[in-house]
Amino acid sequence: MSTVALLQKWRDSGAISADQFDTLIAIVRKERFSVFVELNVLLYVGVLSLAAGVGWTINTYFADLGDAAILIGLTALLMSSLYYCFSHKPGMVVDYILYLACLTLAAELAYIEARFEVLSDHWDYYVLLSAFVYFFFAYRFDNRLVLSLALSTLAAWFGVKISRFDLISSDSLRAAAIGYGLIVSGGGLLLAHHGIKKHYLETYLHVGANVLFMALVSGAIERNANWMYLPGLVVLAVVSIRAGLHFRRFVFVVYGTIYGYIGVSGEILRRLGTDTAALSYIVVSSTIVILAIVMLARRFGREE
Amino acid sequence: MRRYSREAEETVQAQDLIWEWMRSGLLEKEQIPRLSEDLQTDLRRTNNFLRLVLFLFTAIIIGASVLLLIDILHITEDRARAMACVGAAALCFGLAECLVAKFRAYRFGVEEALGVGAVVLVIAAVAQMMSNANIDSVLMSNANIDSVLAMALALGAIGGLLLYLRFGFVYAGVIAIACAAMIPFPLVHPVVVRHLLAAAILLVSFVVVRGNDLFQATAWVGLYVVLNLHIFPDAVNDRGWFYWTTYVMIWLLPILGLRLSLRSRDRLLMDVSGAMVIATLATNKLYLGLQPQTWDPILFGLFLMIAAVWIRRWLSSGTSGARFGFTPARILNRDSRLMTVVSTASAAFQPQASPSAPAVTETAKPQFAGGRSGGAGASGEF
Repeated sequence: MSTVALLQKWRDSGAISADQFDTLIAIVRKERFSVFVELNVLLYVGVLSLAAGVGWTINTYFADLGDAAILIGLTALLMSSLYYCFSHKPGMVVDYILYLACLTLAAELAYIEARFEVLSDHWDYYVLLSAFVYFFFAYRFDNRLVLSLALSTLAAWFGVKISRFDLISSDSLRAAAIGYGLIVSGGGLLLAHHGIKKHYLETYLHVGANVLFMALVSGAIERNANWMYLPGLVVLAVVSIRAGLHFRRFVFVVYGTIYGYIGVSGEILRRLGTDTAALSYIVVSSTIVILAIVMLARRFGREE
Repeated sequence: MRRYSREAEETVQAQDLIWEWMRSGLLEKEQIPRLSEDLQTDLRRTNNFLRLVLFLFTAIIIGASVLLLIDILHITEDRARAMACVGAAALCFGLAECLVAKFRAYRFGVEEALGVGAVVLVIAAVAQMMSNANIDSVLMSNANIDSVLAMALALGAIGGLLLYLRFGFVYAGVIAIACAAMIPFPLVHPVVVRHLLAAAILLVSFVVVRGNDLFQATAWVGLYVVLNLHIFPDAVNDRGWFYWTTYVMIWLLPILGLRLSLRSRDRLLMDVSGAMVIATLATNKLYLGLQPQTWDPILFGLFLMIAAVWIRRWLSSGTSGARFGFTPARILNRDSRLMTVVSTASAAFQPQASPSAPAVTETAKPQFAGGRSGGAGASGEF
């Protein structure tokens, strides 16, 4: 039976109201057609293109334009963008103008430090400052795109901090990643617990979980890395799968399964001497994973 | 031919719709059990995340099992390996049929990987046979590699079509169209002829699949890609009649696509046509042989932003916030979820620029690495 016929049947039997029928039939027959996503994409691509063009122009013509012209131009763009955001009601356009303001701020801070070396060796504080400004804007304007920018900028600050040590090792980078992952996940949980922008929690957890998993997997599969990475990875995978099932967030089940499998298999395959043994292991272990997931799939059906 | 009845597939689509309407606040949660009574089906489904894991691990098992068989039986001869692949392909297809027939699996991941695996194994077998035959006679030449590639594409097209017709896997249909369009590239050497042949295949596909949103959008975007000589790597240097014909076509195709899609409210065709407009604007200067300027992206970005704001205001100022049925407002929750996913995923690829001050002297020229800007991150140079 077609969807239109089903809707008519449900209306006639009283399963849906006449108003609901009118609304739904208009959607099914495409008499009401939303271009919400398309407009968002146009704005997003537009802002990225504009920001890239500004960067390219400064890079090419900074000697001709001079510092004053560049800084005045960037400041004007930043101020006008912020003025627009603060003087208009939050909405689709404000979201992307705010994103443009954040990108402009980053470009301006980068230019100031590169030209005038104000903070010199401590220039990474610009990055930290940017991250805090982005967090403030993300919460003030309820903008998830800027929140993602804030999280990636904070990650960059962690990376910069580590790179300032004389000896950069994989372990120190992993430690920074684990620290970042824990802070982001923990911070997200804490804010959600206090009822501050609860809908941001998943963004924090996605970013935090992926960074943690990547750090632990890279440690688990590296031959000379600390032995603690593998147990840490197993614990995190179990927590991720259990929490994913409990809260019906199945993407975390995927994270736990795939990252966990890679880490554990990396360790086991290293100890297997022959191709036959390695291939046998892959067939058997993958079959076990499939059986476990099929059992879960039967339990949860089509729930997303 | 079809493994699932039309009624069963319509029921599955209706199930998805009522859940989406419930999430969008158009239906009450209490209404769902009553509505679901009319949507009973024996098909077993799972959510997309578990489906992805099942697909991935089934594919791993198929690959590892074939290699294990070859390893255990010490199969070294190419023909014997090809036969092993054919046998494995038959087994995979049989298992997929069995899963659907006996367990009524529908988009469950496992039967999908088995079906796709069967096609890939047949391609591997035929490629092995052909390369073996060629090595037997003479050393593999470019022509032989091209014929193997053409055969693989042809098999991919046939296999994808069969999977779509048998199981209804739409991505297999998309792959079939793409493979069919690419067949002329290894076979035909004059560049103009191969582009024209590929365009003809895609145009015929577009006409044949009219009514299927995804397939016609695929054929339409494919047609644009083979005709835009500054997107496709196989570019034409000679600025003759063909070059300028394609220049006209890259303007006509998006306009025609937008016109068709706006009339039929076909979202996919509208989106790909919109993307084609952007691609045409982005490659216009290259086509005309003009020097790109640093302010081009600025003007382009401003144009897109102004266009979006203008369209939004124009639609919003209509009756009930819509004109001709088009509204800038979000209707379904899935749009919001899509934006959430995109903005969360954007954390992984934010534009970055960092003030790597120690490396810069006062007179040094700042370098925005790779033309990127913004983000105040650590990965770029300044």
